[in-house]
Amino acid sequence: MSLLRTQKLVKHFGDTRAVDGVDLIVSQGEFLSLVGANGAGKTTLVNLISAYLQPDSGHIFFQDQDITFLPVADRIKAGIARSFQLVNLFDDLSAFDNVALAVFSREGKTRNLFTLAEKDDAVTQETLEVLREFGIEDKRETLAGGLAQGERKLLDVAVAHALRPKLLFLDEPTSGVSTRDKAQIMDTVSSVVRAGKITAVIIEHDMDVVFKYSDRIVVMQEGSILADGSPDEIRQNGEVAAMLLGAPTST
Amino acid sequence: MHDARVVAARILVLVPAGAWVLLAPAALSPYLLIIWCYALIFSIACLGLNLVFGTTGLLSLGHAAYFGAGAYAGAFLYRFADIHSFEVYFLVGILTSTLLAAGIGFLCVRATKIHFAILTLAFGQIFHSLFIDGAIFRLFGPLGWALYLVGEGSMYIPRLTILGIEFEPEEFIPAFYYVIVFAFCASVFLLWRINHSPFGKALRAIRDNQTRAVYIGIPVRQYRWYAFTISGVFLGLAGALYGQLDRQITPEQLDWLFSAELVLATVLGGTRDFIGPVLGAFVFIGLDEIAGRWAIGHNIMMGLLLMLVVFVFPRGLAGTLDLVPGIRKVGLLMKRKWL
Repeated sequence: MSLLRTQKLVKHFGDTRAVDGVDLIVSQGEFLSLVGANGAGKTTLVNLISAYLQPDSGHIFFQDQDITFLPVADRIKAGIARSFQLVNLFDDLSAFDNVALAVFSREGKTRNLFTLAEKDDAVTQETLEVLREFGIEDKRETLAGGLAQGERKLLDVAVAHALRPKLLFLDEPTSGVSTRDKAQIMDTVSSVVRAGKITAVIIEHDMDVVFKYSDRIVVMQEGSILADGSPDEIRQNGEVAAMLLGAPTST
Repeated sequence: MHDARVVAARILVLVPAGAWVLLAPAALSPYLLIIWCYALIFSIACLGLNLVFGTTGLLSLGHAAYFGAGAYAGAFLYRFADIHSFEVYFLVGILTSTLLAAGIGFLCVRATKIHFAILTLAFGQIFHSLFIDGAIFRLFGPLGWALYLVGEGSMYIPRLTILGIEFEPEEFIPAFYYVIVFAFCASVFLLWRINHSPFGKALRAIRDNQTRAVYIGIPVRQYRWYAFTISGVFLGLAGALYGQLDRQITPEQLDWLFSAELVLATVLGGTRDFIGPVLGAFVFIGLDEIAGRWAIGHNIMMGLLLMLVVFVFPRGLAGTLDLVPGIRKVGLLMKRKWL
């Protein structure tokens, strides 16, 4: 069953065809990786689906509802959340407050003017639970700006996860971190996503990560989908493997 | 149950503060009592401004308009409706400034950063010019115009009745002082609650990272507008108190220079600490008094004193004091369970 479907989605920047008539289907519960060289259109595609950009033409359907022109807030309410390529946090707020704000927002409680945030036990408990899931509960009082890069990446995903999305986009969650941290981040993210039965779309350059964690891989090139299949199918596609892994073409 | 040290810290701070607040009319000369009152009022205005400035991250250079509106509204009410009740004067002042802030804020929050500052400055100066050239006074017919010609935009406000009581001239300021103290405490309490509410946290999120705030579902523009409007409530409240304390309101209180003083005092105290604007306001008023002793070169002396304070307290008064171990410890204990 498809959760998200794009139909001939187009976004051009001047003469550059960033996304060029993409038809993408994301099924319920899958862990999908979007891969391709820099400039292939992966981030632009995610930006279109998350309303960071508006498409030039085409349609986006989420749970069979046309959301092409829905504003960000409505897409979040519908169940779409994202993290960003460059970590995007509230650096002057604690890790706890970063996550708590997402919970308050989801619950429609940010309008509360005179209730003390810390007195909301339900939000406090849920926030601690999210931080615990991501293994950063002991950093709850640390300002987000003072966390290590790997912890910031995890917090970035934790904030998106706290919105309890049905579909979660993760834009390069392991970029700029050490190999050891990469494994830890992906293990954590993968277990949280699978435990929550969340559909995840991840943009990633590290093919070891992609092959290890993905149910399905979509390869993009020059704004279009070049290949779409399971990790084994992508590995066996000589042209694609050569492009992604630098392996010799087998056919 | 509270930690004994927390209780001790609160007693250490609150008991002397409370005693001083109660005894100030007896301890201070009439002149110093007025200066003290003015510092409390200025603190309310700075705290109100900081909801937009420090908490939401929007620099307003036009907040004098809401301060002035709070005083002028009551002055017009007295002139044309013959109202002698301070409570009515006060509420009308707050209502007027709130509506004005809601209207101007609705337009200004469409911009951010320097563009926002310029818009607030422009609207503030337009409002100021309505009083300088008398356009507002013309709305009240020939009597209004005559008022303008007599006072050149200034308006007199008599001693009003407080809770129906008409005070003798020498009794008025000591009695009104307690009204100001009550308004100050209520403002601190309300703004503190707002700052520590989910809404206040959302404002800080908007200040820190607008994009991420949008992507966790915070309606950024709407909340900026709310913050601006709420800020207008407290500026109007401060303005109304000022009008009654000084018993005269002039277009000077609407000018951007007064907006700049509010910003300066707030920065001086520290925009990131809740109590910073209060410290800044008191120090600013204190420095102004010291500089005022030099009849010639008052502004030069004020400038030099401000520079000195900025060099000594580069993180703002609250931020620098927080580095002093003893004060920091008491501060942390005060905050425990409260923040």
